[in-house]
Parts: sequence; structure tokens; C-alpha cells
Amino acid sequence: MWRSSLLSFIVLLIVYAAGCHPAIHLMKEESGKDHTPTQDPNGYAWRGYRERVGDEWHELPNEDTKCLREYSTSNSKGKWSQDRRISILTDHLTAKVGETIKIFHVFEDRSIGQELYIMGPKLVYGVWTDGKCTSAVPEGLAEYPFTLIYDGRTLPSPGWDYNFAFTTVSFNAIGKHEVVWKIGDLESNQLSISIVE
Amino acid sequence: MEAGKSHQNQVKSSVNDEKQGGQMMSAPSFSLESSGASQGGDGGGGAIDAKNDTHQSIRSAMAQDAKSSDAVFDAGIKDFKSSQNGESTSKSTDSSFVEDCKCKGGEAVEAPKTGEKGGKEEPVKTPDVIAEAPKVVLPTINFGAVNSATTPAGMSHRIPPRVNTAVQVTVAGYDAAVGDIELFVENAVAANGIAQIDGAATKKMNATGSVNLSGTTQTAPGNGGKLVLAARVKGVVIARSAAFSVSSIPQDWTTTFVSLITGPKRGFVVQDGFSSDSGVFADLDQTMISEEVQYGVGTGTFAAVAGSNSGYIAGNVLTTDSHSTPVGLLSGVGSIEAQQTCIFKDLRAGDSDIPLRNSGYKITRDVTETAVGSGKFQLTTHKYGAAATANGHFSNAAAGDVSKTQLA
Repeated sequence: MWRSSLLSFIVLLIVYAAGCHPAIHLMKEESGKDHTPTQDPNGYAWRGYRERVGDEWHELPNEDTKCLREYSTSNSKGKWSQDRRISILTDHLTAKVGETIKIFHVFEDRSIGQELYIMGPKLVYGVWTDGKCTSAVPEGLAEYPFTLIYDGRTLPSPGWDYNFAFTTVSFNAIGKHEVVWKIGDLESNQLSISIVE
Repeated sequence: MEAGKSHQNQVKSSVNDEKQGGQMMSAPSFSLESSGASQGGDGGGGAIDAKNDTHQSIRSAMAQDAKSSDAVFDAGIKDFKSSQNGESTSKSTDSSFVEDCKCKGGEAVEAPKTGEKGGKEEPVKTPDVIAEAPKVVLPTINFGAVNSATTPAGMSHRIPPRVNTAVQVTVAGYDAAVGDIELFVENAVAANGIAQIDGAATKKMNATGSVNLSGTTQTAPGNGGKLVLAARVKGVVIARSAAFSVSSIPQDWTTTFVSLITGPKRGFVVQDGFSSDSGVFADLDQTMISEEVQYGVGTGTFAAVAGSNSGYIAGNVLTTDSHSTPVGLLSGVGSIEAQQTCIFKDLRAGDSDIPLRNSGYKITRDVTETAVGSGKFQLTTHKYGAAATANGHFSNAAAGDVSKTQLA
């Protein structure tokens, strides 16, 4: 007898789950102002790149951000450390003496559900050229997002954050020059830039 | 007599035209005049003047309506004056006015016939008595801006899908003789966007009034500003509004508390919310939104903080905001205020960096001692809706107020 009662109860539960829950879900969607939170389906989306010059903001043209937009297919990236890595990219692996070279910075997190602090451009510290640190990391900035305080939108990982101010370097000596980004326990790939006359 | 000379010249011109066409012209006829240039009602909704070619087209259309009358319309016979009885022919209705021209004007005046076989071209005779020919005057139509009230300043004209947008249409000088005025949306194809007028593709409108435009298909990216609300008479466009697009835009930012930030940082996470002015969130799939944050001058432990933040992401994704402070920074008193607004891109209308309506916040951080001289500190993080300007973009207050105090 108790078995049949239990069976009836289970059947009732199934009916309730099938019939009531969708209705409740629908009511939630119809009420309120379509504010149902959603997750970015692609944390690797290209979102444009804005440069700040004083109080002015400029969107960099596509030709200036080619290496960034091709990040996903780049063979040169930093090593993973606890599912996170940093990388540096440039479109000018060969340049002339004294020529200004833009280097872009990327943080990537392949774990699920961590915050990507995608607003910026965040200032970059910890860039090394030819074995010398050119921008020491201030105390308290060694952890991503590498800022003192943060106010703004975040996206859930996995994904990338490339909203860092680009670094500019130039070299006066002909030959190979090495650039690397080191911050906290993360170290980027090494760029080898050829300087020619 | 001056009028007669003028008339003579015009008729000559007309005759020459008819010779080229190998047809015979008969008169009298009538003239068409625009009642004046039409202009937009609000500066943005300008209408386009009815041009001479428009007159010509409408005359042709009318002539087809009145084939039985033998009347032929030609620009060269403008102001042709019917003679004989000296009466001025009045305006008449569309279907009969050509015949009225003959009857009311008395005897019809035959235009000179030329090019007849074996005939000799005769000089044009000037009528002895001059009378006013009937004049059919085009109405003046002014369109108000085809632009939703939810469109922020600085953005091109647009209307959202699904929602009615009222547009004022002013009709002046309408004469039934010209036929019905029909409103329609010019260039309405899927790529440019499609909008209906009071729920239909066209609307007859012969008097001043208001119509509701509602988008049914949003403009595709790259095709912004190709739609025009237009008025036509007998298939000929006589007025156009300023261009517009069909696109939905985000508005009315909200903030609700989600969780405290603990561990090596303090602060909180809030859920962002906003809505589409079309009422359907998915309509925002061709927008991008950037929060703009600008810091004021920090004091004490926040003295080194400065700068601003920005960053576009897809506009059909709701995200969280993080407001965090490293514990390491909470070793002394201090405060700082930031202002936050949002801007957006509308890829359909083709606009960028447009302030999002009602997206203003102020975010304050205050570090105080838990008790005077205790050497222990606490942080109060407060985010609340307020009119704000960040990175040069102003917005009125958004909704939401979250304040949390945490020990360092």
C-alpha cells in the first residue's frame, strides 16, 4: 500500500516539475523588464580598443590592433599558471632604430566563473626590456587586475582581458632586443624584436 | 499686353516641343503651382520642396486622368490664359477639372496647329481677352522629426521597433483637386528597416494630424538613416521627412546588490540591469555598452588613485559590476568619489559614444577608524543613483542604492 502511495507521490512530483516550473519561469520572464541575467557566451569576443589621450578617448583603427585581434591564433603566448596567463603582442617584430613600437597586453583565464575585469585601459607595470625592468610594479598591484581599486563591469571567465594601456618601446641599437612582462607569479612570452637601420 | 507677350512666348516654346513630339496640342489648360516650400517642423524633420519636375509628373498623372478632355499638360503653357469671356476659371475637382476648364472658360481656345501636311506654319495668335486659368496648387506638408522621445541628444533620428512613435504631419493648402495625399515609408526594405504608419504600410492623410510610426524590422548594421517618411500624390512624392532608422537602444540602468567581496579585497558586486526602449531585450543585439568611470581627487589612503575606466561590451548581455578595494590599502583613513555613466554604440543607426539615459551613479569609498585611536579601520563602499559626468559623458540618475561597511 505504502509503495503505491509513494509511487503516486513521485508521479505528482514529476507532474509538478513538468507543469509548474516552466510556468513559473515564464512568469519571471514576462514580469520585470527583461532583466534576466545572462552570461557572455564568448569571453573572447573582440570588443574594440579605446585609447585614452588626456581626457580624450579614441578607438584605435583595426590596422593598429591586428595582433590583438589575432590573439587566439597566435603561437606566442605566456605560460599557464593556475589556469591564468599573460601575453604580450606586437605587429612590429622588425623595426628601425628609434622607431616607436606598440606592445599590447593580454590577461587570459581559462577557468570557469572567475571575474574578468575588462574595463580600462589599465596601466601596465612590470615590463622588462633587454633584462631591465622599465616599470616596477607598485606594492599591492601584483594581483590581477593589477589596479589599486576597480569599479566597473566584469565578465565571467573563460575569456580574455586586453583592456590594458599599450606599452611603447624603442631601441637605438641595431640587433635583437627582448621584451617580457612579469607581474606577480605570471610571466609572459618573450618578444624578440629586430632593430635594423 | 505684357501678359499677352509673355503668353505668346510660352506658347511658342510649347508648340516647338509639340513639333518635336509630332503631336498636336490643344488648349486651354491650367497651371500648377506649389503653395510654398515646406520645411521640417522642428528643425530636424525637414521636408523636401516639391520641385518643378514634381509638378510635371503630377500634371502628367492628372492628364492621364482626364484623357477625354483632349488636354495636354506642358510646362510651356503655364499661365496660359483662357480668353473669350474674361472669366477666371476656378479650381475644380480631380475628375472633372479639365472639362471645367473648357466649359467655364467658355469656348476652348485651339492652340496653333503646326506641322500639318502641306500646311504653312502660322504665327501664334494672342487671345484678345485674358482670363485666369485654373490653378491646382500642391499642398505644403511639414513632417515633424521621425524620432523617438527616448532618443538621446546627439544621436541620429531613430524609432524603436514594436513601439509607437508619434509624428506630427502638417498639411496646408490642400485642394481635393490634386487627389489624396498618401503617406508611406520610403526605402523600406529589410536591410534599411521597415516601419508601419498607424499599423499599415500607407495612410491617406489630407489634413493636419499625427500618425504613429512603429518599426517592424530593425535596420541592419551599416544601413542607418535610409528610411524617410514621405507623402505622395498620384504616386509622385511631394514631401519627405528627415531620414531615420529603426533600432532599439538601451536605457534606464539599475543596480542591485549581489554579494560582498571578501578575502584580499573589500567591496561588493552588484547586478547591472537595463532595458530596451523597444520593450524586448533581445532587440539590443546590435548595440554595445561601455561603462564610464572617472575618479575625483582621493584623500589619505586614496591619494594615489586617479584616472578613469571604459570598455565596450555587447549590449545584449547583462553583467555584474565589481567595486573592490585591496585590504592592503585600508591602513589609514581616506576617501574618494567616482562618477559612473554609460555610453553605447548603436550599430544599426550608426551612432557611437551616445550617453545612455538614466545611467548616472556616484561611488564613494570612505575609510574610517572603527573607534578613535583604535588603529583599526573599516571601509564603507556606497553606490547610488545620481546625475553624473564621467569621461565627458553626462547622464541623469540611474536606479539603485547599495551601501556596505566592512572591517579591513
